[in-house]
Amino acid sequence: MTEEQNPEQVILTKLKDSFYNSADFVAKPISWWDNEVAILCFYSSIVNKADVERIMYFFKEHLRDDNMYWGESIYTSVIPLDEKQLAKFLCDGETIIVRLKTREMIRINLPEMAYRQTDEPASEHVLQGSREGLVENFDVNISLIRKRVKSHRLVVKQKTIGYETNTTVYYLYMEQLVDEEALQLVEERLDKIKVDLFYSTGQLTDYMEDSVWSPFPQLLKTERPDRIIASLHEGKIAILSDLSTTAIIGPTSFFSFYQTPDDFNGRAVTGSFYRILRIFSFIIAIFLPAFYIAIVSFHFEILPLELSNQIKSDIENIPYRPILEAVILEMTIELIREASIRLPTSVGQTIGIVGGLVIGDAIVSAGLVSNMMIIIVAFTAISSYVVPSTEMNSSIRFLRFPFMILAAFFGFIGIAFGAIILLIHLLNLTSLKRPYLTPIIPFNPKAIFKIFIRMPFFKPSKHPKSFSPNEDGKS
Amino acid sequence: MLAGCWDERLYKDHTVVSLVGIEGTYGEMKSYFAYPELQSGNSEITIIEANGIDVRDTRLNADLKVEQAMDLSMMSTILISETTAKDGLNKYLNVFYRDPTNSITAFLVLVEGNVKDYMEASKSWTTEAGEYFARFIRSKEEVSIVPNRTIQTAAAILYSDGMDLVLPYMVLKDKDKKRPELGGVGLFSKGKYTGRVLKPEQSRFLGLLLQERGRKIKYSTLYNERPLSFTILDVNRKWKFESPNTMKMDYELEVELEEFSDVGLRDVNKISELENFINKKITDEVNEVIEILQDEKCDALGLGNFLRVKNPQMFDDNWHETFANLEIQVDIKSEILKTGLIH
Repeated sequence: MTEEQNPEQVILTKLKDSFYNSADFVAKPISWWDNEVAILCFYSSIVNKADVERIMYFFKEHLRDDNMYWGESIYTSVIPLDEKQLAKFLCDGETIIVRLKTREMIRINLPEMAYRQTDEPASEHVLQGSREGLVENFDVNISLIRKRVKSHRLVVKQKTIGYETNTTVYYLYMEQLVDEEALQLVEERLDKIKVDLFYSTGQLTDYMEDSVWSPFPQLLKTERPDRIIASLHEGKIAILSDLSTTAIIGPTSFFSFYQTPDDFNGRAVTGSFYRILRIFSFIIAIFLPAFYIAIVSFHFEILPLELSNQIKSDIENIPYRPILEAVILEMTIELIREASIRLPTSVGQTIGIVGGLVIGDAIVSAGLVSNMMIIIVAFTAISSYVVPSTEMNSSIRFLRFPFMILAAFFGFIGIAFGAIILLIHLLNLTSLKRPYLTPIIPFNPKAIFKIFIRMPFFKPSKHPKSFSPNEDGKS
Repeated sequence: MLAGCWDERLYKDHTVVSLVGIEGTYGEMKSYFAYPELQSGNSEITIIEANGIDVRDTRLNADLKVEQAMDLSMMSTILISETTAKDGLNKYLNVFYRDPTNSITAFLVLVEGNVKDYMEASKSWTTEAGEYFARFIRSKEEVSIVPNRTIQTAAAILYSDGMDLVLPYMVLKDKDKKRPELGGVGLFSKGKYTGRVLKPEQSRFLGLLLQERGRKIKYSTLYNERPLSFTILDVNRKWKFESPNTMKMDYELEVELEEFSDVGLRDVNKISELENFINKKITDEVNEVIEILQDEKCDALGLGNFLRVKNPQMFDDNWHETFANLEIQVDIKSEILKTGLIH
């Protein structure tokens, strides 16, 4: 140890120590104006070094601190030295120059974090229209949205969550259109999140949802900016984070899960037809296997006589009860699905063929499952994948199992009771304290019509509002 | 009916009977049950024959001869022999009303001669045994030759004093005994078969008188030595008791000409001439049918029920006698709405 240490050396050591000598942390003395010594520090992994260098050069050569606001520009600002904040800024990817003489920090905000190019969202394919999807970067995401809504009423607010991860969460809404109560609720709930590690949208949804244990998703997740702006215009709030490509939208109604941008990109008549088809698919996906099980174990008299022979010859030599048969097949399909998601695309197709053709064929010849059951389960599986939202898709695929069990125990009566319970649950469910099953409850005949029919764009003169607590009955 | 797992009826454990035949009277009943049995992929119709004291007994006995549980929930036709029907149909059908899983939309069909022959004939058809008869009856219903009478609708009539049942009547005339044909409709009086059969060409006017909705009555005759075919599209009726012994029935028919090769049909006079001809022709036919009904004391039209509503004091247990002596005046007014494609 030398007795005479430069003050900058002391600070440098202290600084490096407080960053635990991290390999990518750089802190070094530089000469600033008039032989003044400053300390430059940044995380080399998250800073755009070339641009920072250019700005530093400009500062040194062309600026002096005798002007007011000399350090303020798009990327830079000057604030008094504050060690706590210093760490935070550095972690955000800023480059800081500490002027020891004036005890000032020059912040150069030019982070370069890794992110993807925008890409078509894999889970929300459309036939026509925009193919842009969100990425894992705030600026890109907001610019994708801003370019669609060129209005100053689009408000972006942010909140930092996670004591360790310091993740920034953004929520967007349209001023004057937004559902104020829901907005308040979102803010309250965001404030309540007290965790160390915050890394996934799933975490966020759990905190934001009204009933976490409901099988139904109460917040719409999307990766499509066009979907986000459509929702914002209905007075909804979108929550994004830097970590994930998924935006969470609320308050949402059940039926918005069954809409896709394709409805609006295409023509009104065909759009309406597919919308009705999708709602029909919901019923099929939940009830069809249960319905079949109820028929073959309780109410076979409702089969037409011509069909009954076929079915009878099909199931006569199956050793198991229909419920077991169905569970075997449903499980097979779920396994195939799960396997093909985890595997790379090329292998995934192979699995599809092996699962679909080989198992399907072999399972029938082996006499484990009847042909009829294959038809039913396959039809159901296809129906359940019609839903545009992956979340809702998993919900309804899960829901068919309780119904199958009810049907196996109690026949049609069981299904009826199950359906009643399901309906009551849906009626009780809320999304950010707004009714989930709107417009059925609260009843709004005009809006119900819109669930099934995609109205032409020129028709609605009023602003579409899914939730209008103050205007109940007026619209 | 509540179903729980304790009520489970697995389809694979049940034999679905589509055609049932009953013959004989109490004490010596005989029932036949036709069901498809699977033999290496093909289904073949098997007929189970069982004796017993009554229908229920025969059914229980038949169950002993099948390896699976016999189930009548998909039965679509019951064949009834003439002897059984003459003894009064009500008591024999009783069992079919009591079992909650029973099909009550099955058609009732009277058959001439041995029921067994009809059951055996079903083996040669590709259609399901019961469905063959059901389709047969349904297609004849369309043209109004037989009225719609199933176990359910027959019950209402059998238990009513003011109306009598008519049932399709089938005969097996061909040599091979494979193709039953419609012999007409059998007339009942007070729940018992009278033995008299209305021929198909007459029975369609029964449909007209009953004003069965959605039925089309086709009719062909000669007019001035030219063929004249027409369809009665719709019927409006008005019944009225003029005096205790006189009944007035006004019918308005909407007629479509199917075939009439005569020039000058666009002439309004010609059309009203034709209308008059049709009126007369149909009035004659209808009167003939009513005469037969009165002869057999078969109130197939439900005049008794009509009287009961309008003049309750006049209705008594002796209704069938009153009906036989009733003076029924029929007035037919037809209107030609369409004149066909080719004039």
